[in-house]
Amino acid sequence: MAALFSSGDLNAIIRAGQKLLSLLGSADEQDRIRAAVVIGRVADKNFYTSLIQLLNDPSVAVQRQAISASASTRNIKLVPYLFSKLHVDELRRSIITASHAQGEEVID
Amino acid sequence: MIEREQSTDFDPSMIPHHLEIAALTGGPKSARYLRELLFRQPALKNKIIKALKEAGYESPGNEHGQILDLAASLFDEANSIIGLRNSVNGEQTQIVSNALLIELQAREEALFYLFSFIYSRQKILSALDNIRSGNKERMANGAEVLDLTIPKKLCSPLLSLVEYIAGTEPLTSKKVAGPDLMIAMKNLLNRAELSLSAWTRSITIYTMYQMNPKADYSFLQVIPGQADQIFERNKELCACKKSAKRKCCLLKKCCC
Repeated sequence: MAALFSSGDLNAIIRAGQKLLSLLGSADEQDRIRAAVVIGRVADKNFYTSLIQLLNDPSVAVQRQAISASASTRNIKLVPYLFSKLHVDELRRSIITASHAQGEEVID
Repeated sequence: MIEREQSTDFDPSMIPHHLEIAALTGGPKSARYLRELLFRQPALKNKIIKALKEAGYESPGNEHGQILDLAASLFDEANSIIGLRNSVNGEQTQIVSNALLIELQAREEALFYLFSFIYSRQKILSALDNIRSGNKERMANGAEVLDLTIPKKLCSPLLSLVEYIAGTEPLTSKKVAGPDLMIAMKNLLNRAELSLSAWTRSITIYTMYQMNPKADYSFLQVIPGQADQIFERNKELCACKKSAKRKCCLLKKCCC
C-alpha cells in the first residue's frame, strides 16, 4: 500500500487512500496497527492527522506502532501528542526515540 | 518541551525524560535547554552535566562562576559520601560501601566534565581517560595534565578524590559494629541533599532489612521521595503487613 501512495498514479493513490481509511476505521486492532505501519512507511508528514487519531487509540499496541510511525513521519505537530503519553511506562522508550527524531524543534 | 514545562499542569517527574530527549537530540537548542536545566534541577546535575559533555558544551565566560559553584557543591557531596562510606564500614555492609564508591565515581566524572566546560576540553577528557585506565604511568600523566590545565585550588581536591577512588585503602578505617551500622545507614537514607541513586538507597534499605528485619522503618515514610520507582517499591514493602522473611525476599527481588 505504501508503494501505491508513492507511485504518482492518481488512481493508485485514491485506492490506497480508501484502503487506509478503512484500516483506520476498523474495529480490528490488527487493522489499525497495519494503518500505522503503512503511514510509517509512506513517511509523509501530511499524514499527521491520521497519526494523531492512532496515537489516541484505546489500544496500547496501536499507540506503540503510531509512535514508531511518528519517528519517520517527522511532523512537529505530533510532539504534544507524543509528550502527553510520556508517563506511560511501556510507551516511554519509543516516545523518547520518536521525539528526538523530530529534530531540534522538539526542544521548544 | 520548554513550552510544556511552563504549563500549569506539567508533571515535574517527566523532566528526566525531557533531559534524555535533549541529550539524544543534541545541537545548540538542546545545549541551551540543558544548561538552563542544570541550574534549575540540582538533583539531576550528574545526568545533565554528562548530556552537556556529549553535546560538546563550552561555557561562556560569564557563566564560569556558576560552574565553579556547582563544582564546589560536588566536592562537598563527595566529602560527605566518603564520610558516609567510613560510617558503613562493616562486615555485612560491603554492598552499601560499593554503591557509595559508584556514587563517588559519578561525582568524579561530573567534576571532570564541568572543568572541561571551562578549561581545555580535550586535555581534561584525555586526563580522565588516562586516570580511568588503571595503568600507573597513564594515571600519573593524567594527574600531571590536570595540574597544568586547571588552577591548583581545584586540582588539589580533584586529585585527592581521584586517589581515594583509585586506592584500595579507604576502608582501612575502624570497622563499625551492627547497631551503629543501622544508624549510619538510616543517616545515609536521610541525606536527600546528596541525591543518592535509586540503587544506593534500595541496596541500603535491603541491607538494613537483612541485618534487622524487626527494626522500626517508619522513618522511610517521611523521606522526601524523588520520582523513583524502585525506592517507592521498597517503601511500600517496608510499610506492608507481610512477614519479615517475605519482605526480605521481595526486597531482594526488587533490588537485584
